[in-house]
Amino acid sequence: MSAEQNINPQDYELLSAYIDGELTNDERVSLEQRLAQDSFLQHELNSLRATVSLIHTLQPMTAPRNFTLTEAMVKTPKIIPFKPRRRMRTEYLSLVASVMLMLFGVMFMVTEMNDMQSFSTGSSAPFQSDSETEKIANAPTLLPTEADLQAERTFKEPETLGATANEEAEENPAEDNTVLNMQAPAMDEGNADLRQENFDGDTADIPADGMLYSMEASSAVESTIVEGDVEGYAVASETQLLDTTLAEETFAQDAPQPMASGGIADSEAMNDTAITGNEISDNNGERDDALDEVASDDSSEEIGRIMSQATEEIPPPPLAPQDSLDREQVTPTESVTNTQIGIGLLIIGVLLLIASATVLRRNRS
Amino acid sequence: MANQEQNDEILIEQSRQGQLDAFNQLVLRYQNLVYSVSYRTMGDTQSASDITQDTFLKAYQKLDTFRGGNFKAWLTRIASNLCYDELRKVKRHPETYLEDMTPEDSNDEAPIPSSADTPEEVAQQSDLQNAIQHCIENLQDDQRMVLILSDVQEMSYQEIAETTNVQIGTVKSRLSRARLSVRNCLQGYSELLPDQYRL
Repeated sequence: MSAEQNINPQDYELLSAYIDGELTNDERVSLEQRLAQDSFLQHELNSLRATVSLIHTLQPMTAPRNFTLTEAMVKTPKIIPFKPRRRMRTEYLSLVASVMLMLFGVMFMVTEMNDMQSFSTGSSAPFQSDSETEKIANAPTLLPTEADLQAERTFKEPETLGATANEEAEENPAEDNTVLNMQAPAMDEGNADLRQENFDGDTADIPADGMLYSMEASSAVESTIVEGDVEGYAVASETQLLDTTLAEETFAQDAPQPMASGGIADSEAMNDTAITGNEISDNNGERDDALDEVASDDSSEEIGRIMSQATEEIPPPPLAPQDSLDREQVTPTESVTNTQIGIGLLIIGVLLLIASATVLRRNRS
Repeated sequence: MANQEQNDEILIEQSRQGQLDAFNQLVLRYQNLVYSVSYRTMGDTQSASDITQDTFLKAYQKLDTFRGGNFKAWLTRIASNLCYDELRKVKRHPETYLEDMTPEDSNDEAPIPSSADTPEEVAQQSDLQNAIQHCIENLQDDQRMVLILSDVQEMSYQEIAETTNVQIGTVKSRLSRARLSVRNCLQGYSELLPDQYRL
């Protein structure tokens, strides 16, 4: 250990007091013994002595004038030149401002918490009543138009068609049965696009499963289509095959959730579809008879053209529900921003309160 | 010293009875001390004069609170408190008096030249005085006050403790640190130091 490391601040206090003769006898004796053995300690003592001597060389100051008091000076009101009264007022104002800042901060945070609670309880349909929400949830998904619904009713049930088509395929395996090449889509799958590559190279994107059912139905009932009557949606009126379940699932896979603002109207339309679907199912017996009469025929091109026209006429799915848009309008950033503002105001208020209290306490002391 | 204290007690008692002349006797006795402490603490003549006048005015107004003892320490305590207040005020709103910007102010530290001193020696002494004052002004407020009362005014540890309202142990601690700081500061002015004061 070096000589400098042997000296600590307490040693310098002893040296300083030793210079001024302010040590007790025991302390002085102990220090002198150390000074005799530690040359660096002795060097530091000499350095401090020189410093004190230098300070002593400062010339004594003489007052530039007499500062005696006069009668006029003692009779004037007491003036505290270094503690103006307005500083006290300022400090009290700071206290009040800090309390107000904290109150505002709490209000910001409480307001935002209330908004978040009301928002979470509103769930998926903040602008709907409970009855309307339930109705929309139970109703089938949105249909494009009434005309398209009518067109859909003319086609047969895909499962039934598929089964019938398979039977026909077994009977006529060599024929190019369009139905065999077309897979019945899973009822639960929501494939948005289905390429129909079996219609002689036409690879139109079929957007809806319903359309696939329509194609199957059209191929199954091709024999019912009157020659020259290409737009024969209404021709197969006697074969209203679309099942209620089929219609519901079809539209459920295609359409998004109904819009909140048009929910009532949309639910009514879907109810109409359900009713129509029920009517169709009542005619299943007639349908089966019609299917038996269906014979496979090489009219895939005709059916493809019909389907493409139907595809074009089907409007796009409706927009996203209004409630989701409304959710986006209540930007999370606002709540975060309000919370941050509240926290910031609280912190500023607390700091201002501490500073004001400290200054007040110091002025009073 | 004891006679002076007895004289102080008499003058104080007469001052309490409203005799302004008696109090002015005390002013004349201690005004150099108060002015010196104020100047060494503040570093400029204008502030020192203001603080000195306010010290005696406040002492006359608060004379009833003096309960005997060391009047010198009591008076110096008033001056040190006013210096602390002014230092805080200056730190918040720095000001420079026009008088302090004139070259005449630097002559306050100039020693009384003797016939034996050459002009160079006089100038060197003046520079040394200014260097020491500069190092003192660089100290913290509490260390500066203790150093001035001890090494400039040669007050005892007990008087310093009464003046600054701290324990004697605190006086020792602050004084040792102040001296160390001044020593380190003066090592930067080694060319001005006389041979016998080489640090």
